[in-house]
Amino acid sequence: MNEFVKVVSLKKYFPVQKGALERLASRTRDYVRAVDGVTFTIEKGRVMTLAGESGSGKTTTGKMILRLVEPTEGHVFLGGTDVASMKGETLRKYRRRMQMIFQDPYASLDPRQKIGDAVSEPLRVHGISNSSERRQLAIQMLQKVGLTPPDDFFNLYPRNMSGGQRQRVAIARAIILHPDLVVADEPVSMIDVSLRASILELMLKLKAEFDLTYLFVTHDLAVAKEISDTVAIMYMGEIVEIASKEELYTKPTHPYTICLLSAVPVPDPDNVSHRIVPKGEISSVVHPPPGCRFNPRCPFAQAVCNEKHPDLQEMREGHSVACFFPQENNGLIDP
Amino acid sequence: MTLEFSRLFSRVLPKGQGRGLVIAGSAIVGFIVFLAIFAPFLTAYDPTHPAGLSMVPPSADHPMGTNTLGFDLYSRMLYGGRTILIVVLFSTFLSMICGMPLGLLSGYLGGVVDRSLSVVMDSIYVFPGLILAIAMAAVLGPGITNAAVAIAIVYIPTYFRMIRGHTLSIKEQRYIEAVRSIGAKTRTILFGHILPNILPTLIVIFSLNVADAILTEAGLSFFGLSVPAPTPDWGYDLRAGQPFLPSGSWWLITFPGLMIILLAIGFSLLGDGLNEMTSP
Amino acid sequence: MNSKEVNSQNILAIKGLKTYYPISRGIVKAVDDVTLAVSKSEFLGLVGESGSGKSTLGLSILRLIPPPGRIVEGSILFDGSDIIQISNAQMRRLRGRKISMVFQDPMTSLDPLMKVGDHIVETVRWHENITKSEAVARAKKALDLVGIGSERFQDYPHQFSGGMRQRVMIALAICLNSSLIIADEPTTALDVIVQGRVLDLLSDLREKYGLTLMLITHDLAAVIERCDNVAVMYAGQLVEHGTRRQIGMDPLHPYTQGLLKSTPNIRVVSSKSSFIGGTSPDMTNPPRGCRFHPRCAFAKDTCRREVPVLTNQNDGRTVRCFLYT
Repeated sequence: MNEFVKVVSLKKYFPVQKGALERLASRTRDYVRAVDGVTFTIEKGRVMTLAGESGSGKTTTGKMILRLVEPTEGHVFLGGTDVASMKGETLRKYRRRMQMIFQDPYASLDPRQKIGDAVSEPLRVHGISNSSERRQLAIQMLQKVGLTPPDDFFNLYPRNMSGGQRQRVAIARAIILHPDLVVADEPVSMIDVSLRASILELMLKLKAEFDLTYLFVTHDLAVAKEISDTVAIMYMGEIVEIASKEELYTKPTHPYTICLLSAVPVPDPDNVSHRIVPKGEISSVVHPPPGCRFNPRCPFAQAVCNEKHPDLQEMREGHSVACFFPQENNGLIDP
Repeated sequence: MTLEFSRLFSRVLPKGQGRGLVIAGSAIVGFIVFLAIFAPFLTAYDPTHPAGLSMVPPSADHPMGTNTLGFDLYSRMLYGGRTILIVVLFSTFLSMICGMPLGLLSGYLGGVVDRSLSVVMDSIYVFPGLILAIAMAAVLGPGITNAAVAIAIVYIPTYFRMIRGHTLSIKEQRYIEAVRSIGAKTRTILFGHILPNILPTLIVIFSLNVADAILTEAGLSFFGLSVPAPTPDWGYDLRAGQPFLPSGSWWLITFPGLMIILLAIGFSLLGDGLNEMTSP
Repeated sequence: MNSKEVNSQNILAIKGLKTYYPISRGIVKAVDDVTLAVSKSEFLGLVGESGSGKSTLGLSILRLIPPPGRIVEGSILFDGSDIIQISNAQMRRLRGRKISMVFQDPMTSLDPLMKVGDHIVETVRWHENITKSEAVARAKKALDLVGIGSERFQDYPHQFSGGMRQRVMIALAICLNSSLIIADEPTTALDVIVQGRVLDLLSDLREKYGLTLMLITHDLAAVIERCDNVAVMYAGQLVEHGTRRQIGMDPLHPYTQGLLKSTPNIRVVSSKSSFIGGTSPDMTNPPRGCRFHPRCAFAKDTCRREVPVLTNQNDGRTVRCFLYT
């Protein structure tokens, strides 16, 4: 198994801000366990998606891998090297091998920078070739992401472009250094539905061309289905199910995954909605429930679920679940 | 030709709330600058030597009258423009090049650097401007450079605080995170991305600061702590003319006062206009 | 004209509505000739993407267009009377009372310094002359109905999650006995499970109280799943209006077809969604003729020159396209 990206027990705990009086009263520090021991691998050239709702820790995990957020604990191996423990200049130089595409095409570009300069900036930052060659490389990249004629687009400012175009610029900028890993944080959630597939198609095309590996982060399971090879469902800082796309969407077994999938609207007037709704609201992230974190809301929970914590177990080849009562054969989906 | 010009005009000064103010402000400032530059052509008199009888009210010969020493007031107003503009622009510029980098660094780096710089700046900022300027000028002694330095010190905290505040908010923007994720060095981020986005604010602060500095300079020279006599100086003339108001020699203080106010208003309008124009 | 328009059961009848916003480089024709009718207790889904004008349409109905934007032409008949013509004072009485709007971000609609219960009570008492205890009782009942629970009457907005705040806004609409609730992207900022619950709530309330609901969203799937009828907007105009079956099974307008193909179907694992080429139009200078023609695979010469009008089809729906005239 080609473990190109290997994440091991990654954790991020945020200390809870307390007032002075509270701090005196309580002995222990409270933490928000945003990411609590996440482990997975990505094969080279594949797309892995971290899917989950807000508060699941998926974005924080993605950012920790790129060291935009400092991990509290854990390892991130990129082609064998532990990125999580790099520091200073080594880390800065290493960044060219792992890049990010952000969610908001409006906010992720400097409004005062021509987009051509934005795309060539990574080359400049890492001291690659000279000014005119960099310009050429940037123009080639703009061509590749479908912004033609690239010479014209080079001189535009973000405010002169649509959201879809700006996201293409963001993609060009992320790819121009031919990184090993690209983390895409909700790259199409702010793009019109009728344009999303074109951006996703572009990303897949570039992946093939430049032999990239993607980590996709999204809350939109429908989008995840379009682009992923492997999907990991996260809930309250943990991975609760991880499987190939086909497996996850045809045979979801974790109760949370089933609830999530059943909630996604389907553009079919004949679709009889068999939504399975979890009870209540998401539990406290500072004091998560004992045992399985989903148990207070789980329609299938039993006593043991509140006592012991289920670890991720391989159920079938390439399909792991963290549940004592995985729900198989629920017939939700047509392949 | 005119089409090109008007198109350029509309691009530099797009139609909006600030435009009128900017035009008005620039007109006033431009006018005084013009008077100051072309002073030798606009008056025959030497502002530092007697030009006639003393205490002459405005007349054909002396449109603004003469002062106690017989200097022609009109020429003193014209040449005085030079003094005040030089002192004020120089000192504000000095404030900017000291305060701005410190504010940038403080805002971006945070932590101990930010805290210590802020403490120093706040303690200076706490003093009312004129009082601090007077204290500085008293320590440094009279003279045009010393006056400029004294005023500069007063305004360094202003730049520091505004630039720091702006840096703090820009620092949190998504595009800064993006540039950091590319692997850019701090230097690149500060000067390549944060500074260009601060520039509009900087220009506004500069303009408003000059307005304020004018009044401070006038104040300094009112107390004789600025340029030494007989260099033409509006504040000085204001002070010199003040005791004679009750006896009816109104022109001695009216004209210097008017010039100070006019220049301050001019820069204020300009600054306010730029502020409106650069606000989203 | 749509036969529904003449129906006396219509609670809302919009005719030829135009709402424009002047900006520095031109005029944004956000809503440009929209004719639409909604019958009592109908659940209408208004679908569109960025620049379609759907939100502006919602705001126009409530006369909440921020100046210098304004309604330039047209009529909006609510329960028979044209609400564009009534005075501001009359509109204020209508707004929130008969017609409520639930916005995308409930944090800004709720006063952060006010307990939610008090907020509801105060609003109700502004509109109706009832005693405080009556208002409190009504508010508590409404909070129960929306699944928040009357025990949270004394809580502040920040103590609720996004989905729950939306439900507070819905509770407010119920308290005021609004007959028409317009929800503008009420679930866009919410997670998918919470989205389902909020929309379920709206559907339930409609069943129970006969409310009329207008859901404004970009999510075609949600609309096809839940709404009775679907109206599709593109570049400020209504391009198709039919039942959910019609739109979901057999869309006529090329844009609707493209939009449907772009909407992923999570139940069919092997399916792949497509996209519509081109970009959304510049609303200060929309394309001549049919606004969709630059992106349409079926565009003919006529489409480039003339503007198609909304025409009735045999199955009762309306389409704005030369393919069907």
